[in-house]
Amino acid sequence: MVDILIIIRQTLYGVAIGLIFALISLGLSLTYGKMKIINMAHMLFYALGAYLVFTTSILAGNFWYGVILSCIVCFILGMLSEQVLKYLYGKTIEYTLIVTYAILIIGTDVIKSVWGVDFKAVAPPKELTWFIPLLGIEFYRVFVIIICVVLYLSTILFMRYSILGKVITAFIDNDEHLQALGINPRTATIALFALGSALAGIGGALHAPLYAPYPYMASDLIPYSFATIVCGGAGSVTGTLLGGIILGLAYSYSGYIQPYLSPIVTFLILFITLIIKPEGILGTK
Amino acid sequence: MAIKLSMKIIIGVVIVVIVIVGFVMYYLQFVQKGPQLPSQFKLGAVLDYTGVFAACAKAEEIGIKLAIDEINAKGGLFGRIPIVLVTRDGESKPEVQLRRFRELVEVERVHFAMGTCHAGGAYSLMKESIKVGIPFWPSPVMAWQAFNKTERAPWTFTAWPPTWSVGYAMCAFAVKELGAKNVYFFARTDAWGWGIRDGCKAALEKYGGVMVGYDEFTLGTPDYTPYITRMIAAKPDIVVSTTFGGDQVTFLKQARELGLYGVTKVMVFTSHLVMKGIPPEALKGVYAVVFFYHDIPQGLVDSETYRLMREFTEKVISSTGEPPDPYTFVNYVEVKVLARALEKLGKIENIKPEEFEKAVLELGSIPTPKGEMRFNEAGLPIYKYGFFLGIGKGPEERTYAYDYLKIVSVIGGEEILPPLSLLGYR
Repeated sequence: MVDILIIIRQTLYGVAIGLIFALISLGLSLTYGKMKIINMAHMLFYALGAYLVFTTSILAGNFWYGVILSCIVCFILGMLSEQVLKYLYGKTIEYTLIVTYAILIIGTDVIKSVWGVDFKAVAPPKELTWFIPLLGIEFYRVFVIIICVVLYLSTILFMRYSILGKVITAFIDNDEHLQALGINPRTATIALFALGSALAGIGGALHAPLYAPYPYMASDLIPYSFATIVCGGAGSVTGTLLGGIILGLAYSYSGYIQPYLSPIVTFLILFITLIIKPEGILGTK
Repeated sequence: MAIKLSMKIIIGVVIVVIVIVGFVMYYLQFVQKGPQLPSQFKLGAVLDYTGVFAACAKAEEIGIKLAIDEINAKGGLFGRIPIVLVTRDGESKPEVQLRRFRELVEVERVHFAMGTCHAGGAYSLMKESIKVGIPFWPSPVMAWQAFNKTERAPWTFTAWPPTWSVGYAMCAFAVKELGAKNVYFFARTDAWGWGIRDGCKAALEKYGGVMVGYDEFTLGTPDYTPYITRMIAAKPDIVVSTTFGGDQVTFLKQARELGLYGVTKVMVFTSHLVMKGIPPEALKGVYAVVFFYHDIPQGLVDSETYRLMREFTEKVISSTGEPPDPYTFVNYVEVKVLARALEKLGKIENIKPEEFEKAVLELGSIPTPKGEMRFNEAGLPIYKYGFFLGIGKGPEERTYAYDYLKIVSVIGGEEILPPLSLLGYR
């Protein structure tokens, strides 16, 4: 009989990891769902977020500066990356895959040359390192869940109620109608890239203390990110969230049975989803 | 006619005299002195300056250079042949290490080679050394199987005890010193982890411990949460982890965050290089087994060994600003030993594996900064003080930057080496 505390711990771990998958993958989901661009380079924002928080922890001794810096830097870089990736609009998926993968490799080597090849240790903020009674785990792991939920809800509210959010939503639904209203679709695409990149950067920053930033973390997370998108439904905000949580829990529970089962079970779920509902759980045909 | 004949005789005698004088002069100039030794001894080293083992390469280089400087300060080998270090970057990849080794042999014409940071790579170079005819000594900890009689190159020795010894020491400490009989073993999925496991099993068998849990992880795992959760559920007396380098930093950090320290003891094999990167909170209370440590308490070792260790530590600190890592110590010792062996052999070229092996074994007891050491017939080192057990200090306990551990115990002698029967020598 498995200890109830173990189940709670594994559930918390699974939800935390799943929410991080979802947060990181959201931008990718929207660009892939709408523009059919498989932007492998998107994961570099996740890695950059982790390394920025590592750097501020060392230089300024402050974790929160790193989170804010990750958000701002990745937002700006997201906007700039759109200027490069716009040349891929309308190109074949294979072409975009090759180009963005090349950017990912370049980015990985830039990370190696700036930060070195070693794993980095990032401590969570001191105020969150107290242990939860009974569970015996650091509160930071629960904090990640809370903050990811807040960020996700904020994104949904932003998309629904802000003008820019509505522009993005309209663009995702039908960009021709958007043009008919006299709104340049590029406004939406730039905002989409910037928002998605900022969220990925924050995801990386939050994940860094639970993980160990290293140069290949971006490429290692690609399969999980795509699994999240495909399971949840490309282009669906809620679908990406659901996909992330399901896969995160599967990763966690199977890992408890045998750690090597985690990737097997995760991608088995992806496989089954593709067989039963290829458009994803909340995706549309 | 008679005059022409006498001229011919005179010319013939002059030629003969010149030839004889020439032979005598050649004999006096060259033959009596014996074959000429080269003007310098080229020591090649394949060090992984780039890639995941970059930090280790730096530590190894410090040890090698320190030893070379000391030998050259006395004139070099035989008092007159300076040692010149020629290095190549192995890039932390075995296939590159092999190519660089061949470069050192074929292009640089080194007389002896050392390296790398990777046991698998070092094993390949050891095998290659026989083909190319240049002695090779490994710089990293080697898998114990590499010293099997059928595997080991006769001229290869190492100043590092093998992985088997690391595991033996860890589990012997766990049971004997800490009373932790139920061991959860966390093995890396390669010769490093399995070798340590084999030694651990031998120690548990001898001292009455039991392996109650076993998990394997791959090198470079960034998230140990699933493993740590299983360890917590198993509630062993101790977790013996074979994580090293960046893996160890990550593992200990996550172990602390997940509350493993509150459930069980944790033991790792570590070094200064690794402990530099471990947050003090994550090292606090962890049982650390080390091969060399810069701050051993007086009384734990004999006074002469204590003096030697302090002297070596001061030497390295004054040259690098940091205390010596075990990689520095080992490579320092290896260069010093090979120099003595070559001087005993009387030559530095055209060395046969068996004659070099004989010369090293005949050195007998060798002074090192960790006390006397001698090699057994399998090429493995026997130290009186093999491994030390320390307890990690938290941030509030540290009195200086490198004050990582409180050393409490030591183990050594032939006990900690794999039996010769296991290695095919009996």
